[in-house]
Amino acid sequence: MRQKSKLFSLLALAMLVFSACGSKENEVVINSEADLAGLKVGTIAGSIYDIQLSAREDISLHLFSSTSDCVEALKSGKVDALLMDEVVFSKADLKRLGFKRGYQLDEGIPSAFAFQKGDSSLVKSFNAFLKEFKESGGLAATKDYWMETEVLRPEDFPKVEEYTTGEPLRYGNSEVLAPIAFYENGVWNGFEIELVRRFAAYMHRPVKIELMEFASLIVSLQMGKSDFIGGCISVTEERKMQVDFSDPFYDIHPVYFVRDAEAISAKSSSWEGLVNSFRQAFIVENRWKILADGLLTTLKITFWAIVLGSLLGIVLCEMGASRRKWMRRFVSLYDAFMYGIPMLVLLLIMFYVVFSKAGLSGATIAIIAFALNFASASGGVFRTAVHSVPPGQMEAALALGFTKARAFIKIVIPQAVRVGLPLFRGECISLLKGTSIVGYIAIIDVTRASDLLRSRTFDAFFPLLAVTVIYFVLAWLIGFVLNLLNKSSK
Amino acid sequence: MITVNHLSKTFKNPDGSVVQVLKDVNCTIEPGEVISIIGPSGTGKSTFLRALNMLEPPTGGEILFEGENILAKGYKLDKMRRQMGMVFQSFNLFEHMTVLENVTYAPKKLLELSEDEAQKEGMELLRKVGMAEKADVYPSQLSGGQKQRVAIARALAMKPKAILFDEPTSALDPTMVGEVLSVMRQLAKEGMTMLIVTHEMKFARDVSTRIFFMNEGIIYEDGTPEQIFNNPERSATKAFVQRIRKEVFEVNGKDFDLLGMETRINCFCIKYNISDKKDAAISLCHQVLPVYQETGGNITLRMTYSELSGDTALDFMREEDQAAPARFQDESFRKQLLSLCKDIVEEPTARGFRVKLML
Repeated sequence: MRQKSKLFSLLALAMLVFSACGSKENEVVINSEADLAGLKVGTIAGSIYDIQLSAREDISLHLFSSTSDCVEALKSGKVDALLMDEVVFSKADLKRLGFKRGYQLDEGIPSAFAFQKGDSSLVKSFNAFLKEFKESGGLAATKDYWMETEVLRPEDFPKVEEYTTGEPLRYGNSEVLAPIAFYENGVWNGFEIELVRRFAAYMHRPVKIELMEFASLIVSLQMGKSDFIGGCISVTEERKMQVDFSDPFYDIHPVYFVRDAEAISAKSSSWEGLVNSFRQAFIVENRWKILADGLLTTLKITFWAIVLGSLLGIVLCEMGASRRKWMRRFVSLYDAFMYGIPMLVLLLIMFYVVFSKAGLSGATIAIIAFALNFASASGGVFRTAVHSVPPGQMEAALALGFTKARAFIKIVIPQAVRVGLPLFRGECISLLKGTSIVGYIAIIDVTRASDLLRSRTFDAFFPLLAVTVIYFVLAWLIGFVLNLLNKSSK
Repeated sequence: MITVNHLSKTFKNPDGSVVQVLKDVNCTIEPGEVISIIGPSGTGKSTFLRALNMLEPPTGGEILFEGENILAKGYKLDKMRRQMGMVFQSFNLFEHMTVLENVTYAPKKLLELSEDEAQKEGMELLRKVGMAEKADVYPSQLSGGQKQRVAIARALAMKPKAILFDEPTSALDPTMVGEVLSVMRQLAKEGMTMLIVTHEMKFARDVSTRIFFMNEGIIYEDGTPEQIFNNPERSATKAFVQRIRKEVFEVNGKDFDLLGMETRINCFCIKYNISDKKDAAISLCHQVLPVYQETGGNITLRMTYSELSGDTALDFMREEDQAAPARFQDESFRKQLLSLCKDIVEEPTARGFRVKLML
């Protein structure tokens, strides 16, 4: 069994390596809209291009949730072209990835920040700030710095005054790509981010930047989770129905990107290439720290969800054995509820509905949601385990003169643990793996951290390999710790 | 040591119906007594025993242990249970502990014996029940008889004033019953106060100082083994100790189905392996029944067989009777009957009069 699983993981690794190295080399040329006919075109789901492209019936449209997914798709030949913002890829990026620019759409699309509908005071403040900043020439300089600099170095990043007191402005960001907005060394940077910071300074307020899925941005704004949102949001008539836009501050120029056959054949897939991509993924600018922070977040959520969930599970187990009918009914209803809805949906309900106004951090809400779910699972495990011990054991202990509590702790539990521990370990590990969805509510856990790395380097191999290894080791560690607890309790 | 007054216990079935298992149990148990509790199944023997140490809390009455009512609120049950050991039908050894740990665990935790003391005493007790050799073995590796002997040692380790045995040999293979009973015999000899629910009649008779015969939720008869087994006062006791089997016919008027009766007598004889008595029994019925039927009334005919003594009898009873029908005074008729049976017994009963033909 163990041998087999080793073999299997080796095989999976090998597949990853091959998929990273191999790619098809058929050149696609797009010089006009007409050339698109019959091609597979990729773009980001919910973006303005999504709407544009879905109007065309002669292409097959592939939608992805992030820029880095789009890149992987073009790299591996799943799509023939990407429709993206011009600024997404620097020249260096294009060279490294083996992409080139194809046909460019003529008109630019204005892009702006979005504010809560009807809350005009903040929009007005922003527009006033923007006007001032534009007139002083600051906007042009900022744009110039982020968009035109060949290599962005952290030490050159513009410094913006920061306020620490007062109610923070909450900015919801969906885009993770240089030079618009990117996450490095635990700090957000980029063109839009600098604007956000300058606006906060103008307002004399601190700022809080949270990462969200593009699709949940507007919900977050409407639910009052964010004060304003951004990330290459283009201004459209349709969106104006739901949000108030600020004055636009830059134009997006959509470009079709395709694979560059020449560059690909020249690209080495040698050992050096691997080393270089490893350096890019982890070493450069201390990018491993993102993963380390994510790992801590994952551990924190998992640990507290297990602790709180188990305590709640004990309560549920007790209630399930109660003489009162309504208690038993409550437990079976609770179990049915937790069993019946996907964890992600529960998480979103907690974040956007139940605790939308509570002012709790995303991590706290995630802990609560996972603990509620884990309570049902662990309660079931405890029930099974306790029931596995014959009732005669309890009676014998009582007859010897142990109190009920002591008999339960000293006689029933040690025997129940034998049955329950393997089940409990399984539940803990599936909880650990389940936490990989917390990225949906703006938490940067280890999975989301690897997404960030991918979006920074446009290289999936090492970040994915790293999370694979991390989860594998963590799962093993949970089993190890629980076994240790079991041994020490004997 | 233990006094039980008007103890009762009712169970509620899930469908709402109420079953009264114990109706009104009264008794006094003195130190050193060995009491066997016998009786048909379902008459509350085990429930009574389990009520004594509150594993099955009674619904009425009182139990005095050393003068204190253990049903009173705030009574320290665990303190009382330490002085009253219990041995279960299904052994209930702690499966996660070795034999020795099973025996030493409670003294260590509850009597605060040191590890050394507990081990020393534990080994002594295991030697006593012949299980010292298996001290470091887990219960799952023992036979039923061995498990039960360990369970007895475990109960003894608390130095109880009395031990309750709840059908200690019922779950055992017949070959293993002896080893457990001999340990119990030895305990009885040493003067341990014991209450034993058992189906081992010979053992109950040999070892007990007193027998409780339980029936219909009460202690139906209470006496020495001699009294209960040899001269029971009440018919239900007698029926039980002599293991009397019976087949009853209600004969109403002249239309009684004689052929049906013959078939049932035949079946009864085959069931208890007394086919040699079948012809005589049927022939006697044919001769005696018409005598009763002449004078009318409701006649009860009962065929009985004692598995213990092998006695077979036919009883003819009628409620209106003060004496046997006149025909029984007739010498030739009696002779005719006695050619088929050993004896004719005429006796009054609580209800009417009975003529018993001993086959």
